[in-house]
Amino acid sequence: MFNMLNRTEIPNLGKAAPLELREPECLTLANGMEVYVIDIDEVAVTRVDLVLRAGSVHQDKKLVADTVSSLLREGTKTLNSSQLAEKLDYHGAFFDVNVTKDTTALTLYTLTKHLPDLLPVMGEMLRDAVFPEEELNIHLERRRQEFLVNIEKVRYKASLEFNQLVFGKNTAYGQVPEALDFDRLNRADLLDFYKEYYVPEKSYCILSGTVDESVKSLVESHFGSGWQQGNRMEQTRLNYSTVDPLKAQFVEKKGSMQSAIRVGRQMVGKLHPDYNRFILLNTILGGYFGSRLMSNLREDKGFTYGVSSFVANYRHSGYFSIATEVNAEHTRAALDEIDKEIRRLRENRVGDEELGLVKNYIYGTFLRNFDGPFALAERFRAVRDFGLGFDFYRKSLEEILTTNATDLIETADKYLQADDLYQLVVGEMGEGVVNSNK
Amino acid sequence: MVKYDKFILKNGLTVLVHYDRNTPMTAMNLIYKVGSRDEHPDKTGFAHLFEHLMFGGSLNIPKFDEPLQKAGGENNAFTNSDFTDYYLTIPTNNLETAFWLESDRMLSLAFTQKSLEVQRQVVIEEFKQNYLNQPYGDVYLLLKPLAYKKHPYRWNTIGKEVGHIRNAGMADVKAFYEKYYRPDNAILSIAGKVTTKQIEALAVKWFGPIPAGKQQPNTYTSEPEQAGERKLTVERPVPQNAIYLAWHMPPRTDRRFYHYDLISDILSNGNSSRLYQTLVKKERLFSDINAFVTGDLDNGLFIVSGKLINGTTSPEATDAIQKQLDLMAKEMVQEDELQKVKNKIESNLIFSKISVLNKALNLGYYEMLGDAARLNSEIENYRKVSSRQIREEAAQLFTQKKRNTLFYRAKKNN
Repeated sequence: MFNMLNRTEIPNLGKAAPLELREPECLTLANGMEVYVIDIDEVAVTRVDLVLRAGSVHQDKKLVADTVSSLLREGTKTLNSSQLAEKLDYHGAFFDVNVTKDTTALTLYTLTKHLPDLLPVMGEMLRDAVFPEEELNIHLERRRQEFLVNIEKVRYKASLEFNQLVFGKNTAYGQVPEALDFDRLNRADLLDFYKEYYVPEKSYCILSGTVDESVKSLVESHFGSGWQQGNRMEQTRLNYSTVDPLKAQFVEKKGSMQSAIRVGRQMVGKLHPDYNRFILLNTILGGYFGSRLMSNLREDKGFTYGVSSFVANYRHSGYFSIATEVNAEHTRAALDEIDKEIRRLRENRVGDEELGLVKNYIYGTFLRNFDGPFALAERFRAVRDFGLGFDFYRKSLEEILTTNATDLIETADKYLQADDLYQLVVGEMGEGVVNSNK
Repeated sequence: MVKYDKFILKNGLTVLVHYDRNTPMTAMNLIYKVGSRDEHPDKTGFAHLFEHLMFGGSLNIPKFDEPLQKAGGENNAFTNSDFTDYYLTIPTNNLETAFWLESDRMLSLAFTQKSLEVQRQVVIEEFKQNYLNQPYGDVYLLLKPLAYKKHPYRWNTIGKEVGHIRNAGMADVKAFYEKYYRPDNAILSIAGKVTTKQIEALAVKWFGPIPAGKQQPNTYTSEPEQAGERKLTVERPVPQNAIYLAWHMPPRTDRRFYHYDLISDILSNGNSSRLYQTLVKKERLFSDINAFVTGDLDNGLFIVSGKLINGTTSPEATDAIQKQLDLMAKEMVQEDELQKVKNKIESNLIFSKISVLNKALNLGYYEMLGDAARLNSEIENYRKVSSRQIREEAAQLFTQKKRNTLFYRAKKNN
């Protein structure tokens, strides 16, 4: 019996079942806002996401969107900062805000039984926040300190610089904060933004976990009838991006043991016919632990603790980026290897074995990503922002699984030409020659 | 309530199984009871380096990750002072692949020189990225040897210094493996749409043939009672002064652990907590402040850390924190405030039961602490703590003569 055990071959793999996702139920509140319901009541907890079309692209001054969202919990017409904190903490709830380029999302996680106490609080933050001057000062001082710490990290510095490089300075998508911006904000900026963008128009809500009729009626009274339509601006006042002819940038940080590297470009979004193929291409390159970049830069050469590549989606654009921190003395060599891996994708067909592996891996990722009500809520949000539903994922997976090596070489040829890629290094160049052009 | 079954193979491997009908994924968690406290003082960082080597190929499988990815799985691992944890999730119909992979690397590693060389480099980069090339990154490299003089907790899991990792040799690797990576030193936990019968068959088939170890359990030099206050000041190119205060506290399995955990929550869990409301919002001495317990298997640390607002001096900062701690030792915590932190713990415990991966991790963790059933009864340990106990424990712990203070001073740039 001992000998019958075959330890050298992978046991038979099961067949991939198709992805089964039910679209969430959609309700419309009195003020016209849509509410999506993902009711899986295994555990008596509920997550409430309220997503506003109020991102950093909508602000007239840097940091406004972010500061407004953070100050929601610092005072409303009936509750001050410490009362709000007390209320959330006493019920063991978690309240998060998350500001992206295009949206602000308020998220509440709580035991379902506490929703009658907490939804009114969230409703007040949404309609009746007061932005006390004193709280604003404390907040800005803390954030400024935090920023000064972060900017010392090559990784953080690189993410800001790269954003600016790819989308252009002071564009809607390319704007990044600097230390002085923390001194420029005032209370009036916040009130203006709050009044204009914290409105039901273009907002939506996702309820996930345990969601019964009483939860729905709470949502109607606190996010629906009580919350009036406003009069919001349709668009940002800035251009989304500009195109910079300079493709390479080096920001020196003397004494760095590691250099942060970014290589990438603006990229098409979820609605584009090439999107899913590019996602597959990206996974092969740097989208999972066994990716080509990881195998090369980490597992073969030991230049880095980790390297990855990813695609970020914005409403009117997006970008693709390779990101890593490497031993400073190998900065030049790491850049060369990255170039080499990109060229390989353009010039050589991906082998069947590798392609099969990556497709299986992506299939597993899809299953993992839809595991449980809260994960479903997150996945839903990622497509609803683009006017899509769960059906997008089903089609996306189907497209990825039917993409072949010829499609991939075409996609690489179209999107990964060396001349189209931006390159950024923050840190030290090591032995190599400092060169601001490739 | 997380229901589970438990059985032990003849070779000593403990197996826990939890059935969850809601997901197409199964989680597998494997704990080896070995951490950085088991290292030789001149060869620190080894347990963690070893964790990396576990991915560098085993007896019959050249690469761990490749077949796992092929089966749609994903995995990771972590090491701390007390144990090393390997976890993965995989579509349930491919679960046998996970058994095949995990059992082969428990049977024997490939021990290739190339893997050792590369992973030494990778870990050195990890060391730099997270501890050296990072503002405040070396805090625990400084604080631990300040607080511990004898016990192996005096070094960090990443290691005392890069040199120890650079010098790790193949003989060390083999000896470490022989001693610790044995079935009777491991706990396997599985959560997913699987039956105990299925898992038992798979466990016997794949892990059953692996021989048990011949090891004796390690004993650790206990840390002598601290005799006087210790202070260390360092200067670093960071934007802001920071302070770290540490006291020794009882092990994770001691009943007093729950008292101290609640004290740390009263002090700093959430925006309504005492340190945040008093020292950040009202007195505006700190921009950021935290209190937490390390929860180690041997005597751990109670740590308060804070970043100082410009203008706050080191004595002011220390006194302000000490005053809040002394208050805990003098006045009884109000019933409401105690209830608040208990509620938060209860809600955390409930949230942790949503994903299969968390459930598998937690079952293994509590089994390592002594009994997986504690995952379900843990909340009771917190519920029964009284205001009086909190006051008494605070009075015991926060004395100045047993305090360790690290002051991390910002060096002004030229």
